[in-house]
Amino acid sequence: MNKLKPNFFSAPILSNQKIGKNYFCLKVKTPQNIDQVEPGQFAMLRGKWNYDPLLPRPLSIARAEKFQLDFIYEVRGRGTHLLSLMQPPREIEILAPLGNSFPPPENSLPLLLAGGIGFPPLYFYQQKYGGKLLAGFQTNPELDLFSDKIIATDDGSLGFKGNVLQLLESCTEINNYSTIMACGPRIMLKQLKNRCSPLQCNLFLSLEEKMACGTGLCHGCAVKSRQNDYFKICTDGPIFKSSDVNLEE
Amino acid sequence: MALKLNTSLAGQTLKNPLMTASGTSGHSTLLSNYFPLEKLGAFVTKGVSSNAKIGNKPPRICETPSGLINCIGLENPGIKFFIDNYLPQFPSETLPLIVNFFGNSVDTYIKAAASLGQIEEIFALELNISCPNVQKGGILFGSDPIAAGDLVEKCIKATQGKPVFVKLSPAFSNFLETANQVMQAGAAGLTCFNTYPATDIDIQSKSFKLSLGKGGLSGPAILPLSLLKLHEIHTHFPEVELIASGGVNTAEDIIKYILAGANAVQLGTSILINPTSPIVLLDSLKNLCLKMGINNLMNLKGKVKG
Repeated sequence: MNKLKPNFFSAPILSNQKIGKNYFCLKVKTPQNIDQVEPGQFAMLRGKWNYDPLLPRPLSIARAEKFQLDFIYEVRGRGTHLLSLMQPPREIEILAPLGNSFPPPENSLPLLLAGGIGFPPLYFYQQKYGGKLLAGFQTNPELDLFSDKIIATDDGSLGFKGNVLQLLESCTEINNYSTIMACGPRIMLKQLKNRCSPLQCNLFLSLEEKMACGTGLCHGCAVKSRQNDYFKICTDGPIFKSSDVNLEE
Repeated sequence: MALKLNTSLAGQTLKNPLMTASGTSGHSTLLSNYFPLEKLGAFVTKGVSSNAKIGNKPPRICETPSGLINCIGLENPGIKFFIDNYLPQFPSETLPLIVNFFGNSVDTYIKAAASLGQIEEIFALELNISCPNVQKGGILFGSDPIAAGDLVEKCIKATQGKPVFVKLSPAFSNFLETANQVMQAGAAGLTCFNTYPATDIDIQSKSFKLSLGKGGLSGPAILPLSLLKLHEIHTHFPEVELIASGGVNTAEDIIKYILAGANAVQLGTSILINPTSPIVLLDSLKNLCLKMGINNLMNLKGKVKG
């Protein structure tokens, strides 16, 4: 259970450095102790610029300790580009922590599968609880965080040539895991859900969608439920049991 | 002299002119996680209808320069669920509650108005006329001043005396005639305005960015458009009570709308960007009034020159 209520605050930037090809690590100081933040939770971040880009950006939390939050993000559009330019002593507006989290391990450690920029919450999980992490990228991410052995790249520029699910089949036995956790592109999550459906494992998916508020107010980030109505990814998730959501819409 | 921020609507005094805009603060008191809701002049709920609506499929939102387009699809749990589960959460004795409602036919509007009209805890209703009439081939109620006036008259009758503010669509050039018709039908005032029909296209996938292909534009981008239209309504109907809605993000924006003729001002997209924005703006409004030598904010109503 997450005890920490979401808080809107202005956070001094401690550092914001490039750590790979198009990947940055942003570290900020928080006004309250955030040790209780769990892997899978996220924050809404916005630089103190004017109205364009207008909306804060949802980013997964990559590490939370005492009075410091770390985010690892990929520069994709104007919002993340402007974010990458912000350096100390500037401050950034943050609403955090938001959403639910991956469940802590019970009897055995989970398999953690990441696609692209889906890796930060799983990296956080592995650092906090352990588990076997496999990560797929389109091309060499030039990150200094992982062993080559757990990396798959579509173009073969690093580690296994292929996607993360192909890497999984090649290096481990999926039946050995009673719990699998994943975060990545929707197509990867759909394939994983199909792969796991005949198995007896618990599959937890971290979902993404365009978000305006992150607080459940706007109903913007919808995903179809098994009952055919909609969950709000920001407050009902972002972590869902795969059987609870319909990813085909 | 103490600064007076209070305003009045439908004979009720509001402690300040700030209220939430429908669709941006939910159906419940979720926003109270971020500030005491009693700080608001009033709270306007997300729209409710007689029957629950699950809303549109995603993607439901896209960002544009200084704006946000949404096609949420009026997702709501239905009036009964709202009354049973969410309404009791509101501190209705200290916070005037305005419930936004809609239908898809004259009959469903009347049914909604009748259900909500009998609830004592509700101060007023806000009627969304920007919906398609399924009994008339999907034509929007707000596009036809006569149909809008007729709808409002029937809804008011069904509410048994509850004040009804009509939220106008900015999409039609006949909005002044619609304003005239709905006021003649007995509306307590007008909310000016709903979002603007808009779209955006992803050039890589060559597809619309929203599942419906279009949605409603909100945010700072629309403020100058709604400011002009609100002032035109105020000029034609100076006695009508107006609630401004559209693009407010600063204390300056609030004062602009009041100068243009507004009695109250709604905050929408700014709450999505920062859920504490109502109290941030309230503080900022007080400071601006002191700086400008304003003792009574409502003395500025409609006082724009020229």
